[in-house]
Amino acid sequence: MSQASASSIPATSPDHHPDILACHQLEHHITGSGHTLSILKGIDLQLKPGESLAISGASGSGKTTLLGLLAGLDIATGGDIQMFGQALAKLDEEGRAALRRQRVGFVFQSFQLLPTLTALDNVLLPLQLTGVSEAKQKSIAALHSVGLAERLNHYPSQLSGGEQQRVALARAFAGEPALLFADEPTGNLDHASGRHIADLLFDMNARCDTALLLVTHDLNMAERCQRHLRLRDGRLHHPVQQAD
Amino acid sequence: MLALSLRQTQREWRAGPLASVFWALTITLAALTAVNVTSDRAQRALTAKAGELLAADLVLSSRNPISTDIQQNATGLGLDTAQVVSFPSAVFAGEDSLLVSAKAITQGYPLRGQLAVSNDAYEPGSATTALPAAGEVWAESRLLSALNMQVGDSLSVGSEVYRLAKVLTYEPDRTGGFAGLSPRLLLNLADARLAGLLRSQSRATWQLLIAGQPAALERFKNSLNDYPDLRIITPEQAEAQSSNALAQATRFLSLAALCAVLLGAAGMLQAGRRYALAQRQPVALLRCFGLSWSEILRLKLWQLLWLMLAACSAGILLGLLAQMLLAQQLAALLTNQLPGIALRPILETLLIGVLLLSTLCLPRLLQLRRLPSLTILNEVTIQTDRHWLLTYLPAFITLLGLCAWQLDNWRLAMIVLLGVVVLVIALLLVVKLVLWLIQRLHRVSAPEVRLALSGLQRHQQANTLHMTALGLALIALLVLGWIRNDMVAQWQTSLAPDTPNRFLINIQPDQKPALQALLESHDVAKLEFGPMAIARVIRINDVPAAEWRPEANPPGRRDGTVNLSWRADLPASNSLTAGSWFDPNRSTAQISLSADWAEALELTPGDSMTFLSGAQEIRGTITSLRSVEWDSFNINFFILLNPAAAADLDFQWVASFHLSDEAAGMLRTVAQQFPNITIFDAEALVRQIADLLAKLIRALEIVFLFTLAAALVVLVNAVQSGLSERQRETAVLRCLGVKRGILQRSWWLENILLGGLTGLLAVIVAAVCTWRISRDILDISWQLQPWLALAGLAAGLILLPLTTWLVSRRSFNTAPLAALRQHI
Repeated sequence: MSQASASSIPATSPDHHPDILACHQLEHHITGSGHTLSILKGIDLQLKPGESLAISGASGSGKTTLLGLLAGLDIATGGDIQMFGQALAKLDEEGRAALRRQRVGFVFQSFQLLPTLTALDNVLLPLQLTGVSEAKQKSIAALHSVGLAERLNHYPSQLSGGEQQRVALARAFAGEPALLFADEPTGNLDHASGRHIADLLFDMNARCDTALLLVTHDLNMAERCQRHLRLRDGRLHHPVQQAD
Repeated sequence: MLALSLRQTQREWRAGPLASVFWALTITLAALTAVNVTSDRAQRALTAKAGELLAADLVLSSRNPISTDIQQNATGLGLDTAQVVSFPSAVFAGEDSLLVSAKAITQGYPLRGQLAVSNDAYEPGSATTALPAAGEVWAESRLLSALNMQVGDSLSVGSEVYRLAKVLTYEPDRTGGFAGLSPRLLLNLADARLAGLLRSQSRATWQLLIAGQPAALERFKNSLNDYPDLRIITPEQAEAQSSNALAQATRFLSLAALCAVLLGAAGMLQAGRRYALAQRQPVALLRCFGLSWSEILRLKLWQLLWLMLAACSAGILLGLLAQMLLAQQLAALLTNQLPGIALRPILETLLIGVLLLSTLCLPRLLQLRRLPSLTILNEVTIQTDRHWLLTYLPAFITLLGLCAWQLDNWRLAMIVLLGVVVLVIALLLVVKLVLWLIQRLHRVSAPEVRLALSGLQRHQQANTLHMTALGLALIALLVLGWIRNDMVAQWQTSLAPDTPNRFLINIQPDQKPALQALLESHDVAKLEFGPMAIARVIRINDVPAAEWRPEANPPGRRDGTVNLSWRADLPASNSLTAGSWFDPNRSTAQISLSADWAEALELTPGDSMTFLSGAQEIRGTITSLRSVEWDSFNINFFILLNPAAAADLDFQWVASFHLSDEAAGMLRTVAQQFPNITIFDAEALVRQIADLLAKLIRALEIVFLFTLAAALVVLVNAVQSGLSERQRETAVLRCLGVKRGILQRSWWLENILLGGLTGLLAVIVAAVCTWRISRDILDISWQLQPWLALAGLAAGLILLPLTTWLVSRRSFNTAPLAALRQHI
């Protein structure tokens, strides 16, 4: 049983750089069958450029929902989210997409590689679509940096889970995003592969000076972030060392 | 964006659904191009031929020379004229002789269309404006081969000797009937007079050909009221008689193309659905990456454009190739060359391609807009086809419009489409019923059976799709096969191997017993004698015949001479359409008319007619109307009397029978023993028609192939759409320790059950559809076809399990781990 120390607004970073991502009193409810379920209750957090923040929690605690809301993939039922200084609530879906464009990267638990594309094409596609110059060279370099220089033309089904997630990392970092959302990046991997992916993630994060918001139930991985918060009962808490 | 969309199209091609959309669209457009281009060419050929069929804009026909006043009147109105006299004659070359159908013409003939001639019997002809010069004749190649002659040889006709100057390969106004049976001999009218050929010609037909401005023609026609003995023939009448087979053929081709189009559309709907489903992950991912919906839509629209360009090009090219084969077959139904390919039907097909793609596939893609980007994180399956009205309404409207356009009939189009909808609903209900029954069978079965039955229940959605897809495909194929068989059966009944191919006329009553004995001793088949008297219609409903409906123009002669016959029973190739057959107890004269003849004169049972035959006048009441199969080659008459009414008439006998090639020599004996009897040899014509039918059947089979291809696309699409779920399930069950043998057996059982049910439903629906189509569209008789029904059932039993096996067999052989990894 977790013994986190409760705090209503615990997620403020120490320095005075402008926040790359921030939320204030974030609420999210789901209504169904006449009942309202509160998933998130009064969440406050800030993330500075280059900073890494882990949010851990048990399955079903609302981690992924929080990540989705912070990334502008859905609209919160209450509160305020600022990404790159813009309030997401004031933007429509097109506006939120435009905000993510070229500045936000994603790493998903189930990799989300397109099965019909090769490793190279998977990395290349978002760069081509967002009009990044020298997209092919950057994609090859990204795959090189995750150790897949020899697997450029392999399809996802020809790659192991760890290799697929490395392609996903290459895809996320190839666009040199200012902010990276990672949703359980090692959740589908064995221990060794998971550790390798985590190494790569933090290494690339440091090299690219990308702000990282990591959602995970892996406490070891969470502890490698500069800050670590735990989501429980819809609220963020500072975890204690013995938690879980 | 252009280059990117092209690259993306190439990438997605490998995944399958996009390629399925391509194949469905290509086959649909190929079928449409093939049939529409061919129909267009045939239609234009017919229109162009309308005038040519008469070689004029108007023809006056009589059994007597046409008054020169009439010709002068036409010339005075600025109309062109030419005279044609047709009559049977005999040609002699050395020891040999041959009965020919001679045609004497004057300068100007033909006023519409052109003759074509060649210098050798075996060369193709070329158009000419020349006519046989004095002392020359032109003849069909049949005459040359029968008399073993060459161009340049001499032959005698009547009292004169002529030089055979050319081989006649085409004359625009050549028609079938008795005049068409013997080879044509063309000479100029002055020569015919000189040779004394017209002096004692009771069987000559005199024609005045007229052509010119419509207004002048109308004035000229009005001036003809003073000449009631003349028969007026317009191009429309000539066309109506000659184009029936072609119209029926093109109607059937349209129907076959429609089946291919409907199946292709079903294939596109399925492939479009699969494509949209496959696009959920990429679209959600692209939204995460920050692409706006309009950018994604633009990308998808470009991709559809590339797909459309590729499918339209491939479809139209394939269709044009197929229409070359079709046109080759259909050209045989026309006496002249088909005109070239027009751009219009191709542009229409292109437009249909755009319409199909944008109403069958685009609405599903547009629904991806509603797909929340969050699905990429939650991995929940979002129902994108919840708005079924938005998805299916544009498709329904497009297909309804397409059906109506193709069938040229909104009501029928609605029937066809609603039939498809009813079928889908019926299939859904049957699947539900089967599942209900399964609840009861569940506990008492072997593991394979239990697994198969529960499989039917588990895969309810996929199975419904498979059954519907296969059901539609089978129905389309069965409907086409059914109608094809009905049509072919109808044609072949009229051209059975023992179809009469020899006709004898001018048989005197005292010659009949001896002639009949002679014919029967040579085992001729289908020998039939009919009495015939020549008469004139003098009054209709007690009004002088010329004053009764003066504007009407029945297919036979109205005022001039008509042929009367009489018999106690209804002829075999006739069926009553109104009234009742002759009452033997009635002493008054009873008349039965062919329905088309009666219709033209607006006569119905109860009306009266008066004939004059020799010195005898017969006044009778019309008691029945008959539909007559003129193409049955049996002896048929427009006017039949009851035997009692004709007891005192002077008459001759006519006979028809089938004579095998081996026994053809006996005709010489007939000619020697009965020199007054005229023999017509219809063998060549019967063969020619049989050849036409064979070509028509081949044309139908070409279009049938498109339907088959479209049906396969539909089935493969249906199977592929549920494949991923099946593979995953197989892998899970194998991981759980279910033996491969049990899985395979239960799989076969499930699919055979589905296939059998689908086959049964398809046969029932096809039977109902064909019954309506035969009656309402094609006007042919419907037959129950047990073999075809069994074939439909067997096709269901075999095709569904086999196709699904071919598509999904790998899932049984792939290691469970590998299968599961593919579906993570």
